[in-house]
Amino acid sequence: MKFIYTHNEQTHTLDVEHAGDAFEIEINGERSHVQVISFTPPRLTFSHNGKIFSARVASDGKKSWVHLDGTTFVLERADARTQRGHSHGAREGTGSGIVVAPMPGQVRGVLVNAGDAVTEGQPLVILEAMKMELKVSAPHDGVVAKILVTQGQSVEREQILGQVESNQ
Amino acid sequence: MTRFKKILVANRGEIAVRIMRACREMNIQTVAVYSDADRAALHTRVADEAVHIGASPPRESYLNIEKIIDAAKKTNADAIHPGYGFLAENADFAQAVDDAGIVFIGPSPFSIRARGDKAQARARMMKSGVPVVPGFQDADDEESLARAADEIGYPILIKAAAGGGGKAMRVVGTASDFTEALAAARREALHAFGDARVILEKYVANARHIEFQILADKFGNTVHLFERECSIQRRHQKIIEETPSPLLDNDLRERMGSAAVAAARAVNYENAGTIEFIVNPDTRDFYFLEMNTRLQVEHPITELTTGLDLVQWQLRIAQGERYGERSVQQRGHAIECRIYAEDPSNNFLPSTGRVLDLELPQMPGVRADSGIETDDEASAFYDPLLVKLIAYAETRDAAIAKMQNALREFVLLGVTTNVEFLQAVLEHETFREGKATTRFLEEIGDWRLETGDWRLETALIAAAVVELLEKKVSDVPVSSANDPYSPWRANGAFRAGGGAASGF
Repeated sequence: MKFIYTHNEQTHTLDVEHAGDAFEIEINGERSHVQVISFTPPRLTFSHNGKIFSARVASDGKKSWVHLDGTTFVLERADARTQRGHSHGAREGTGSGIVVAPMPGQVRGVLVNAGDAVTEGQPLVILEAMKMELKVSAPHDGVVAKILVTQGQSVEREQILGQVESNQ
Repeated sequence: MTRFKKILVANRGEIAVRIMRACREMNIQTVAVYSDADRAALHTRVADEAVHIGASPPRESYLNIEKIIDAAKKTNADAIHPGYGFLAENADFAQAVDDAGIVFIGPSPFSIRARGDKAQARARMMKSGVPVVPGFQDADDEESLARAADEIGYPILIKAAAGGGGKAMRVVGTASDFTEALAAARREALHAFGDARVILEKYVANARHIEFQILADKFGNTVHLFERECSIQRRHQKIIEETPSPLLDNDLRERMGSAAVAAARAVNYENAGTIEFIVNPDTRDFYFLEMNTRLQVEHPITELTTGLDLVQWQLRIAQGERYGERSVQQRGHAIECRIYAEDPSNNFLPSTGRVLDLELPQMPGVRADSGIETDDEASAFYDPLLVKLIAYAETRDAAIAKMQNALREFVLLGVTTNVEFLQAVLEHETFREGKATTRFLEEIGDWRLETGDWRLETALIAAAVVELLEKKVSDVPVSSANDPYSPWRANGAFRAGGGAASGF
């Protein structure tokens, strides 16, 4: 069975086969043997190539969180990542002009209406989270095609707030 | 002298929990107040009673004076502790509590007005000869402010007059950015403190932020409990604090401490408070920055190095107890790290979510003040501070090493935090040398720690194995889960999902 995770923008593929509590894992082309010793969520104790590790592992469905040897790794699952792919691409400026929330929070203000002409960098929406205010600005010059949020509304990170269409 | 029987804590998160614990140790009952979002939050579980006071946005709950006083009356609380933030430095609140015949645990409304209002505080300090940073606090209209900013010279710091705790502060580099920054600072100030007034200060770069803890009883005993070095800040929000300050020698400590005590005495200050200074590390000149008429977030480092419980002293002073002529020594070294719900890889913007797993470090010399437990929510409505770790040791180096160890053993899964960033700061040469200024974090540059490939690989393996084990559990049809002959039951020594007992 294949598992694909992304960590710090790098993708890792694992091929896992198992019989009972013994696992054969191929990761980035290398094979290793894993034996599960105990699993009392969130604590997993296992031996990996003869060495024993204890990790704490939990998942929110989109990401797996692993605390191992003093470090926490956030591993995004492949299926969750494809869903997010659209808005991500838009934010990097593929020209679609889709504007997304860079953080979760509440909409403190909507500064423009659909049909308004805007210039690059002009604030469109004010978000607030944890008492911090953040302006979300137009990615380029153009016309506001749509605004999908209203004042007081809660938004998730990466949620689409609106769209700015280029003039040409 | 009165004895409190029941105290309402008008706050949430770690500080509410910390205050309630102090109450319990003094055999005082506690009342929590909570918003919709905090219906089952830790502070409501720790308290003896809990009263719902409104919707999730702070203005409808934790900033609602009337509802909080109603809750205190309804539960027969004889005192209210405001914690920090929210209404802690709101003189109208202190006055309303007083008018309701309830004791406000903190200074008088007069002191809060005189010192908590930054505009008035600056004016008073100037009158009493305490050095202040060049600034402007005489008017609040945009025209006067803009003119004053030009006169003082950019960069300028716009601050909420009623503010504190790093909220609603903006650095403005040039005159062309002034109008917009002013509007943003006003909006934030109104939202956080219910007061849109601002003051201006010359922004002093490369300064140290050093504050002194004050304790004053009702009988004129006013003492300082030494300093806290708070220069490690991001967006004017403190991240790491320590005491003693690596910058101060005994002479400077003595002079700043005396200035702090004199400043507090000048307004008959009562209860716990803090005098903040900025210090030029080259000239060693110091300037009064502001007075905080409340308990500080970073109070634990003072507690560990002096042996005093500041919250208990706040209660004792409010009950009319005499602080007296105690001689307090500064012993050893303490460091606090603030664990925030923020994402270092997303420009340190807030992160939210449910806490899937929380393990606090347990080792000698380490204290953890937490406002959350596993399954609690880090909500976008409130402060991002989740947990404070405090390490104490004989020397600064030993305290740093202890904190590094504590951060390694700290586990919080489900919400992205700044732990890795804290580790990077503790390893940074500038911090190690004790030379960090308030600009340090802005100039830190590339800070990412190298995590060995083997760790990442092992973590990936752990994630996949757990996913597989959990998948197997959720795939089991209910009927076969109860079937002793089901092949799903025959999988070795471990139990996927952890729910099944081996003696079943």
